[in-house]
Amino acid sequence: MALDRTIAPEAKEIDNINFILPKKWELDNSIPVYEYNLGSQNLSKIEFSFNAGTKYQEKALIASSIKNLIKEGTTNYTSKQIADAIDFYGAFLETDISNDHASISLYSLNKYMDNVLPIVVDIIMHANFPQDEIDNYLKRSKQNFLVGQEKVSTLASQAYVSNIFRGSSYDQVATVNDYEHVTREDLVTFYQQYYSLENMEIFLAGKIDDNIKGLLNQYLGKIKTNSANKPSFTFSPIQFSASNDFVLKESAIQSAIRYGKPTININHPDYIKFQVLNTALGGYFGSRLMMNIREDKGYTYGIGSGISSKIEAANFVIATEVGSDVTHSAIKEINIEIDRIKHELIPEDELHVVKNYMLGSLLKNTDGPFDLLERFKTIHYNKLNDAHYDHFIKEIKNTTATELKELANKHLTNMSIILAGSVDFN
Amino acid sequence: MEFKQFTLDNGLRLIIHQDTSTPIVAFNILYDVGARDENEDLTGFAHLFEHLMFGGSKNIPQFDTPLQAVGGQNNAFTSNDMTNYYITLPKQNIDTAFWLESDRMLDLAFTPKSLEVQRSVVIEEFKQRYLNQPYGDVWLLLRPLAYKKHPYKWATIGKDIKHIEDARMEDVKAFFKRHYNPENAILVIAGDVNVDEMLTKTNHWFGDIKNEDKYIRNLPQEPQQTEARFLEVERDVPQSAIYKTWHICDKKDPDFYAYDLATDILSRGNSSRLYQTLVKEKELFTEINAYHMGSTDNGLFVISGKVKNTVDLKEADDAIVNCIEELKNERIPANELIKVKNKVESTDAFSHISVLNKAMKLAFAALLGDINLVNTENELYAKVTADDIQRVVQKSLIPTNCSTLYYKAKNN
Repeated sequence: MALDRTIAPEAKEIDNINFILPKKWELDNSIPVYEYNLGSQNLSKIEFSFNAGTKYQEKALIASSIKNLIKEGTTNYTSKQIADAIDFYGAFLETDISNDHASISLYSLNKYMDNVLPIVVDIIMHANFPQDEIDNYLKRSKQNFLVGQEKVSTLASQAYVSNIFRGSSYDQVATVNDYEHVTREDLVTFYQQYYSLENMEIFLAGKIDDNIKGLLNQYLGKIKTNSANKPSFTFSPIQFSASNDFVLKESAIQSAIRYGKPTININHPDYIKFQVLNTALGGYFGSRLMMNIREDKGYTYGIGSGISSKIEAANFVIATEVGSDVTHSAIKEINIEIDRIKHELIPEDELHVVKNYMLGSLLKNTDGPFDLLERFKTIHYNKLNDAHYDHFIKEIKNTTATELKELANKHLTNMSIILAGSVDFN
Repeated sequence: MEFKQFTLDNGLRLIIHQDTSTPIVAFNILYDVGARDENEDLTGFAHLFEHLMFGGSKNIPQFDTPLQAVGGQNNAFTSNDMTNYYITLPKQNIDTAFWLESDRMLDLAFTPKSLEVQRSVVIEEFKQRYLNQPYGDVWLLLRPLAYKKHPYKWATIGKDIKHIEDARMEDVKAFFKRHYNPENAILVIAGDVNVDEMLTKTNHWFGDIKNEDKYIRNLPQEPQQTEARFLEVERDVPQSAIYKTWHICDKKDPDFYAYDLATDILSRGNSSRLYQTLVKEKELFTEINAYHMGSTDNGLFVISGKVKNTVDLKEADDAIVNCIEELKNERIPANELIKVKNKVESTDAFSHISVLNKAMKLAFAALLGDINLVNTENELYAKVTADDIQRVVQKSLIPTNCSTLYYKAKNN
């Protein structure tokens, strides 16, 4: 039989995703542990997560400096001893920070856990932020910051955060002067308050064996905790009103554009369908913004939109870098696409592609223990229903073009545009 | 890692790796063509081509849409040695990957519009990544400093953006006929698949694709460098940087593993020598790295660092050289060698988690001519002795084999 290449093979629907919940248990002192014991390789990730993101800091750079300095010395080990030990056993120690959370993650072959886990515990319990390490770090970090200031993308992103989250606990943009004002006392105070066992959860993924569980209990489970030590927090609200900002970067040959507003977060009933809308507009390679501004006009190497859902709020953004000479044309085309999605129904075949793309992405992003853990953290941190991903699939499948048009009119209005480069709005 | 390999009658190589733990299949096609295969007057073509491969093929007007419609994702990258296209999709829809990839290997739908748009996109990519970026043009300077004859002297984006601006349809078509042939491609399928079924499907979709022009690679070899090279430029950046390169062997040479471990000793992890000595102790650099290009032909050993603002570049450069001399002349402690080998072992274990990663590993090893490398590489690293490392650095990290770039900040 001759091969007819014009006919697409039959597509099979993605009906369900095998999202597994982790096993939940507690250390002897009630520190919660969430465990994905799945995996073929003899390795594991142990993540210690704290409610210690940037929103808790009262001064710029404190939370991020701790992220970088926490492994640079404890009362028992020097920075070099820590680095030597982690590297010697081929382990990886990563610290991370977001607006809401801070984490310390250890990745190691299981056979070396006895050697490396105690060091990580020491970092959690006894980091002591030596002054010379602080000085060295701040000098380097300041230089990196200055390199960032040469990039239009960085300038636009900073101005975007200030514009969107104005006045709130998420309005955290450092200036170069802030590097002069970070003190050891700031770091120690924040660390003691927020990197406490009472403020910690443990996530495990990989081939989790009894040895790992035993070590956690041995080193962390015996320490007395007091739930009264859990820090309280009140989120300072966002004072947003749409306005356009321009950041001049002389002689830049590209302009960075950030276009957006604060929006609904994952706890809002419209959220999943709004994600469908976002995907159609700018959330995948075949999106309208990509098809128009890159694939038809060739103004950019890439353009996309996204919703970043945080615990207290969320933000919507369209982001791109375009040639300076086509800056105004690009903004005009973005506006055309926003108008079009507000005033015309998305055709069924396009909506079909968007939905299946999203389901395929979810399938891919729930593949294996490490991915599953990330998806679970979203449920857990946002206090969503355990069946969230089943609900997600149903919602996507049920979304109609009419609903999307309504959502566009509800959520894609009153946005700010931030422009960084050599070309102003006029 | 287990795999099965086949060669179709038309020369297409097929490698299959089974992993029943995942609902996702990785479908990776590597074409044995990179920027090194370009004509010196038409550089940037391999990469421009990667863009054109998404502009529709003979029977399918649009590549991405049908793939996204079945829940798939894809991307591609071009290097000096290869062009690699990869798809991940739900395993029940693997036929769509066969359909799409075979049609674009068969023939592309070259339209003037597609060429026009992708030309602009690549020019914007050039601006975004190389020009409008602090330190973005470093490799545009370093490659021609280190290579005088071999085509590694230009970057994948091209030697001159004018080559892309002037690209003609006939040149583009000729490039396709010369390089995008089944005998020049390696297909790797990794996931929860049946081997016989995959072989049947591969024959079904790819079996009738003919080879067009034959390409015989015959690249000019780089003559041995005999004197130190030096270039200094001034740029509008907040901080000066130093880049040093030395010629080393290709990736197939047994010494490659000794060089790789030498870069690890120098800069892998916070316990590494360059970081501890030059960043932490002497505070001459704010960051510093040692690595190699991992290229198929004779490659480069590179040390690059951003110099602290108050420090003289010569002083910083001398400090790098001192670290190298120490590596050459003082016995490498046994524990340090164990350390870098342990890191290789754990990195390898972590790299076996994703099917896409595994598929790419298999494809790269096949391109080098030995698929078994995916399994034997660990042993090759294990065999490296402290003497091997010292022997290779003594041979290669010498001034007459070195090219140095001072990338000076204008206002310092």
